[in-house]
Amino acid sequence: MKCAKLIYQEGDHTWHVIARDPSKPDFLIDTNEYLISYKQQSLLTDPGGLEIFPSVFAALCSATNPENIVALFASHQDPDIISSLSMWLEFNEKLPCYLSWLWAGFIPHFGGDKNTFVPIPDEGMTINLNGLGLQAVPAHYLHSSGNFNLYDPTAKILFSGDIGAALLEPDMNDIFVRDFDRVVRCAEGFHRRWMGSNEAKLAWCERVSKLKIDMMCPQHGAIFQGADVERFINWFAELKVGVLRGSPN
Amino acid sequence: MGATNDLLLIVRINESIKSVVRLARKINILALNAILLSRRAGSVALGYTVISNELRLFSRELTLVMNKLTAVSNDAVQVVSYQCRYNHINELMNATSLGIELPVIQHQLLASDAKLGQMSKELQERYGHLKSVLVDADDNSRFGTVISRSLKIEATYCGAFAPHLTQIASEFGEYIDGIPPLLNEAKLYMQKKL
Repeated sequence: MKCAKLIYQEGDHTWHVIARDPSKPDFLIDTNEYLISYKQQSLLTDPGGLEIFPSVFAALCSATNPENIVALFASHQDPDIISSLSMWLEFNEKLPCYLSWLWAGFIPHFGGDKNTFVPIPDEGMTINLNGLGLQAVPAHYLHSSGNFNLYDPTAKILFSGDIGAALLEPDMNDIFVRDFDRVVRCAEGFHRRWMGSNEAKLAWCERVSKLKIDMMCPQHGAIFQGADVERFINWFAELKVGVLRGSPN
Repeated sequence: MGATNDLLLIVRINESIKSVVRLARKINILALNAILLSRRAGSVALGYTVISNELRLFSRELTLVMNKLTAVSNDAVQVVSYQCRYNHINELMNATSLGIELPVIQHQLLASDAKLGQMSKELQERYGHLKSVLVDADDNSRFGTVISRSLKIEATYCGAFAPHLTQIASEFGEYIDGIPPLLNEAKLYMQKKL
């Protein structure tokens, strides 16, 4: 079963990560879901795939009352991000889902109707969580062509989606990055193949380097803290991406 | 929609249980305070010390019951979530098969319905288990009410320490009185399923 772990708290403002299910089948890519809570309301980032809905939901129940979840945020359109949408809407049919306008016609294939989606324009927007302003930060082409990170300026936490993702080795269970060099070795192949534009990458690096970030939370792998955030941004800026290699055929 | 109602129901049961567990943790801390303070009070609080020890034993027992309740409740949440997901798939299969008479599809539907039936049965067993643990928790908390009354009485004999010890006794009384309504709330939700 997945576990919910508190990674930030300041009064009734919290971030939880839902991660690390030892019973997950190997053929399913591991994912991290993040629950941002502020004054008894919560937003869930990249809620996960249909297959893991039971595990995510059960873990979430230990961290909060799921009835307090007032919104979903989908960084992009992949099935591991949002294919559980129909299950969430069965639980609460009024849940809005924030996502790039580009995918507003595609994500309904996972569920929802015309009232479900809040399209985010390319330049981003502020998402209000009971008075807390979360910022949808553009991250297009990294890897999806309509893609957003989510920044909490109060907590100084950036949910970075697939940026920073690493396919960790089996013994690397820590939710935080402890060995930067080893983690980026696990991240390198993913970033070279999946991130499609060096230009977009450099634009993102410049954009986020202006933000105050204490924690960078990716959707796969481990969380970067403190100095490792800047180290990652610098590493990513130097990395040549859009490289086709490692194809199984 | 049946499975979704199950999900909402188990969430509400789980929330009641979480509230009880939070109270149990406060009782644990209070029990420690009571013992420390009564020892400091010395001979004037001998009776209070004895009951504080009972309180400490009670809080340990309560913790064990709460741990069990939490585990059973978490398990039930997971089982309901799995059923909810499978029910969703089953509904889609049923919708797909409308008007299609192919034996292979009818066979698949029968198998799917059977699996759903099996999951419902397992869920009923979980609810039965949860109910029994709730009853244990309820019985356990009633003993706490007895300790609470004794503590309040003994506090009045503790001389200069009486105000502090009475405060602890009152707080304990508040927390312990808070438990039965929450357990009843969980039991009421469960009655809809049993």
